[in-house]
Amino acid sequence: MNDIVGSWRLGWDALFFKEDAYEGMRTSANPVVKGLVLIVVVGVVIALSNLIGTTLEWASIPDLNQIKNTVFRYILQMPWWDEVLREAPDFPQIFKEWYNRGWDIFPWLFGAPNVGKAATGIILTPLGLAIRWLIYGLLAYLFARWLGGTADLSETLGVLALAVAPQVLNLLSLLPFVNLGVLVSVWGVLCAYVGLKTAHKLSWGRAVWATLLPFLLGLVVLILATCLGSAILGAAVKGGLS
Amino acid sequence: MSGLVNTLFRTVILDNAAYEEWRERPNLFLRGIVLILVVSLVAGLVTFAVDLVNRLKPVDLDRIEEQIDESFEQQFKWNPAWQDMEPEAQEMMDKTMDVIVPMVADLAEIQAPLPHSVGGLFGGIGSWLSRALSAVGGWMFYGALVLIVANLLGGSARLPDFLGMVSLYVIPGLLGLLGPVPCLGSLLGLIGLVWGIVVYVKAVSVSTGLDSGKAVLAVFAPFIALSLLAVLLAILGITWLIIVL
Repeated sequence: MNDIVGSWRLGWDALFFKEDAYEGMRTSANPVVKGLVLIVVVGVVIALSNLIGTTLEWASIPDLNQIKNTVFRYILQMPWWDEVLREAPDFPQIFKEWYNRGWDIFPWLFGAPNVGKAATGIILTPLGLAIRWLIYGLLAYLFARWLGGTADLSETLGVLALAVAPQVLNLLSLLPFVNLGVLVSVWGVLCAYVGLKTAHKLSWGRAVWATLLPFLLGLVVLILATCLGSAILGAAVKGGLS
Repeated sequence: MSGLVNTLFRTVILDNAAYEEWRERPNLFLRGIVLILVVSLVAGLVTFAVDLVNRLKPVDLDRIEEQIDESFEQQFKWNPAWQDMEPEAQEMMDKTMDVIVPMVADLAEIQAPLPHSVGGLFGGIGSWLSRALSAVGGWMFYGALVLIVANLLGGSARLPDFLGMVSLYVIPGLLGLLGPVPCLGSLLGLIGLVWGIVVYVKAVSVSTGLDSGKAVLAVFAPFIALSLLAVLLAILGITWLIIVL
């Protein structure tokens, strides 16, 4: 219990970029365990508040299935419907298939509240935060060392766990329809910068590079994957057309 | 409290001593967050009230029909494609509208589990808070970029102190309180924006020790760099699509 309270206190100070908090985490007996405890606790707490907020959001909007059925009923009354039907008798079946598929995808794409998904967040949110922390921590450690940093891997992971502190702002999702935008991500990156700068004793410029290079690497991989994916899709479309 | 308000007011009129006073206050970063949140929430009060009223009032079908008619009239007046429309197509469009209006009426009748007023209140408060939180996110993101440029230009400041100093830029944004007033609102918004940039430059100069010219460069360089990056990415994306397809 003391560990959790201690981690919370460090997380709170880290939120306001207090270098002592990062230094305290670096020099603690078990920075990785302490960091992991903080991440799991924060993850579970924000997932619970998100579940409450999502339930309230769901209760505030009309039933999407009813909307879907009402719109479909009126589409059948549109003046163009009969004309299309005369020219393509199998159109209703194809249309209904795509209509249903659209309603499966678009509400999800535009952030319609999904209570089931929010409930799974109780497990997936801390898990996701921990995986992101490990991958980013490893890459940031490698880049920081390459740039002349002095901290070891467990110290790096410890200070970077404090970058999860801004996630507590997600408690505001307890209020339905509140959107934090880029705030949590930007604040988290700034915490990571202060953490890497403090733990590795880097100059500001090197600390900026150590913070951003893992993201740039991820971006390059994403762009390459997108190019490869679109090239395969393009080839498939061309092949299909010819 | 009155001392704080006085200091903040004097920063708006670019009083050097006020900037120094603000810089000397403890927990500058936390003060910056509170300042941005409070000013954004106050500036968004009228917009929040208008939005809330719109959310709470029942759907006015006559008004919707009027708006559709007005937009059609505008299209027929200004859009050449609509002016050359075949009479059959126009008739079909009119008939489609005859279906859409009752559809909107039926959709408005679908009830949510919570009463309409509670849902509307949640929605209104949610958007109001979201706008203020976005302002905090934007302040941190842009502030970090400006600090990088300021450091490259020879200035120096600690991240939390710097962010706390530049948070002063938000005060002229209070003019946004009158944003929804027709004509005058936009003008006051523009004045608030320009004034905010001037305060930002002054705050950068005071907190990093840069002269005014370099402070202006530090403030505008990230905007120019981000704009160029967006254009470059758009060109690359379009080029790639042309090559692939």
